Amino acid sequence: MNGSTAPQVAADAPEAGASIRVSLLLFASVAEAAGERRREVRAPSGSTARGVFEQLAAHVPALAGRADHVSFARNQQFVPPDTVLQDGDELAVIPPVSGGA
Amino acid sequence: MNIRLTHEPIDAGALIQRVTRPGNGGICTFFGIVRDNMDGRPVTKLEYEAFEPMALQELERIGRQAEQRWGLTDVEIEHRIGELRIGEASVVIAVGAPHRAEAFEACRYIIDTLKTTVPIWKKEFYRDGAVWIEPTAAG
Repeated sequence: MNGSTAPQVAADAPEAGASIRVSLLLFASVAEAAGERRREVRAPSGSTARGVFEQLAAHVPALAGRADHVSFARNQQFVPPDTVLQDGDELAVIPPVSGGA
Repeated sequence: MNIRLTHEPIDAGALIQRVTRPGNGGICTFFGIVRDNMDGRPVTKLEYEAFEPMALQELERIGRQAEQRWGLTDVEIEHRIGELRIGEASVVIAVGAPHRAEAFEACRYIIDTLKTTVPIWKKEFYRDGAVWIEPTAAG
C-alpha cells in the first residue's frame, strides 16, 4: 500500500469524472480530532479507503500522519487500506483498539 | 452463546449463573476492572466507546472460535460502554466446559483476542487531562 501511493484522491472537487458518495464514520481519537462522528463525503470514482481518509485529513491538521495508524472497515467488514470503494459505501475509520481491561 | 454491550453495570452473577450447568465441570471467569492508576499516574475514571454493530459481530466471531477450538458448552461475554468509575467491571467473560483445562485456555484466549481486534476504545481520565489509549502494534 505504501511505495507507489499515487494521489488517488487529489482534492475535494473531482474533475469531469464520476464521483462516489461515502458515509465516513469516525471514532475515539479520530472523531475528537475531526470534531464529528459522521460525515457524508464525495470522492472521485476509484478512490480507496485510505484515499478517502486522506481527503478528510487534508482538511483536518490534527489528522495529519494518521493514515498509517488506522484500519478501515467497509460496510462493517475490515478491509485493506487500498480497497476501492463503491458509491454508497460506509467507511469506518478504526483507530488502534483498546477494549477489554 | 451470549454476547452483549451494555451501558449499565454488568451483572456478573447472571453470566455465571447461565454457564453453571450440570454438564460443565469447569467454569472460568475473567473480570476486567477499572484500575486507579496507569503506571503510577492516578486515573480518575474511564470512558469506553464502541462501533457497536461491528464490535458485537467481532465478539461473536471470537466466541464461536473459542467454542469450536476448545469444545465449550457455554460462552458469555459482556462489555461495558460509556463512563466507568474506578473498581467497576469493564468486561466480564464466563465460559463453561466439561473440564477445567479447556475453560482456562478459552477464557484467556477470548480476553487476549478481544483486546486486539474488537472496535472498542478506552479513554483514560487523569486529574489534569485525558487521553485515548491506542496500542502501537497489534498485540
